[in-house]
Amino acid sequence: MKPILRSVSGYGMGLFIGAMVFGGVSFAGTGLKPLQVHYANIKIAVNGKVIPTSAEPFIYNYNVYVPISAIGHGLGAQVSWVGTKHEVSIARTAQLKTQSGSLLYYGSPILWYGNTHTFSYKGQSYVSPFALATALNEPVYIDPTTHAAYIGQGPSSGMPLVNFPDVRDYGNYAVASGGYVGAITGWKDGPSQIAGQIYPNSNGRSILWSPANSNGQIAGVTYNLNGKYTSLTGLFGVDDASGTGSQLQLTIAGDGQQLYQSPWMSRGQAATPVEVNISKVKLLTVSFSVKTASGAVYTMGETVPQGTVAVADFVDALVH
Amino acid sequence: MKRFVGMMMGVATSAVVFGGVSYASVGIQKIVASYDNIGLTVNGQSVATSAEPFIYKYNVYVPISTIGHALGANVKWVNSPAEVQVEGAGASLQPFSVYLNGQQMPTGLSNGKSLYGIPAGNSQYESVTSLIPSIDSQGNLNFQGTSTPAAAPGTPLSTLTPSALHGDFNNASLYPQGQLTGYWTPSVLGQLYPGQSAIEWGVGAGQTARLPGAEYALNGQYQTLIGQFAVDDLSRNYTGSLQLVFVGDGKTLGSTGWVQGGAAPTPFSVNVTGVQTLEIQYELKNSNGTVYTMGQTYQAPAKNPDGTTDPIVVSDLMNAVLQPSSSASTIAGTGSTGSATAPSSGS
Repeated sequence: MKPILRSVSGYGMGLFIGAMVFGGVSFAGTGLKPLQVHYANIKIAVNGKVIPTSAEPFIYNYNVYVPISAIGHGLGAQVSWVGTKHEVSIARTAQLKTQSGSLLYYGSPILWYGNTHTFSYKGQSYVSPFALATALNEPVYIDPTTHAAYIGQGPSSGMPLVNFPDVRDYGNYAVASGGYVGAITGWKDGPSQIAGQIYPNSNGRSILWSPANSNGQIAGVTYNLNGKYTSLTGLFGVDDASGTGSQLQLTIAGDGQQLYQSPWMSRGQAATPVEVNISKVKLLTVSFSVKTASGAVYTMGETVPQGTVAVADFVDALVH
Repeated sequence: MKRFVGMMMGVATSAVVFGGVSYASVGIQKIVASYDNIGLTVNGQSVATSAEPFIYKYNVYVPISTIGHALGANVKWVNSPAEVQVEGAGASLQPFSVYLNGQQMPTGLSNGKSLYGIPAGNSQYESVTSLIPSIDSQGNLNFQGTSTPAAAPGTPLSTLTPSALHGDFNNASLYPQGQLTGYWTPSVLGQLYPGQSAIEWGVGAGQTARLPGAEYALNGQYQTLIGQFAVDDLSRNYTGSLQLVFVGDGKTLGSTGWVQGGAAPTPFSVNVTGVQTLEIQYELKNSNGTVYTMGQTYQAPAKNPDGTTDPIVVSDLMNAVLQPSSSASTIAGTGSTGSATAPSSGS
């Protein structure tokens, strides 16, 4: 009676599991060798995507083996069998070549920009939309889900105000925090929360301020809108992380004229909606004011008394 | 060689469908492999491995972790369900939409993380933006206009060789060969200006600066000098201010007034009718109100008060053009101090 075999190879009939019946096999190099391998329905995922393989991968001696065709298709590499050399040659097909260098305008470097990536893919060169927007003096917004890029005019929800380069900073915003000068746009420990209401998308598109520990100088920031936007929207309030002693106010100015001033807000008060007509405004300035428990008022650039706890949230500041 | 620790050696018999890829075999098997001293080269380099490739059922099998690593990818084993995860191999670029001021443009390519690119050399981008990008062998990206910007009629000041240079302008290590232009791209309120025609002076942190000046032999040929002066975005928060003073044949003709960052460039127009030698003098007023005039030494603070940026103050003298005498536009009776001092429009 023939032994029951799983059909495993086209080599040699009469092969017994567990029996080594090869004569003349050189284990140092060539010839047939029985291997104990482990199949476990192993999938191969490349950059997060499972790739099909022409034959199932298995484990042998703690390595996962795959047919070389999987390498070729899955890893974007070119695979060739060099018969004369008994060699598998694998070469990464250099489809994508990235470079990094300076950004120039009419041949002179833009010193504040830092490095810009360019790449070529299948023979076509690509440049950064951030670099292009800089050359055009336009803000740029990338949708986190669709990755669509909006230069100048934002999506239907609006262009985040903080995506414009700041053209002047005041108070704490003019002193580096974490190596960065400018408006604070998000809180490290989570999105803004005002009177129990969480604003989940606030980080990255809000203008926030809290007096720095050693020097609480009320902050302000100016953006150049080039006269191209008609309204500014958002919400303003005191973050729940704030103390209860002080009240906060938001002021919006356009080209030196005050356009909007919020009511004095206290912790625990629901955020007040902000909608300001900014038609034809070029330089838009956002600033805060603090009224301490004693009734003293401090405005942009002024230093608040040590120990003042006040957390200002101008949430979802968008221009349309 | 990567060791896959902790894997389950149990035997299961049912096929599992996962991610659209399903295999029938699960469990331990004996196979017969054909070894033939098969070598492995990756990108031309021989890869030594104790996990030698072999042939089984007409396929050449290779150890995926050895290959992955040799290709610069990260190879990770996941136990349950069993999976080898290869990250960073090959290019995985997806198209993304681009909208420029509401107008849909040709799509770009992105890896969804840090790499975004829009096609260069694309005629639609060029016609909408009026900019042509070019990339040099060093990977530097240059944007240049599709047409040279129309200059105001007259002689650009940057094309004249000054007859004398003062202060930092006279320092050959700062301004080799007396070239005063093109060291950086002026940026004011985010707007960029061609640097080649801008006279540029800046002071770095800790620098011992000497307020500069430049003299030009006009020989009575010109009527007006126009231009713009600004504190660059690089030093937008500088708490002091700068001004230019224009002197013709030793007589003060006018000035730009004190100029600060975060403001539009200050335009100036100086009557230089009959002037033989025009001198442009730089002056600095620091936050204490101390004024430094041309030639004087200004010791910049060792560190920028903002705690991070290097230059203390950077200035741009842009679009300076000497306009020739023309009888039709000679302004009679305005006297010798014919300058416009536009107030700096700070915010």
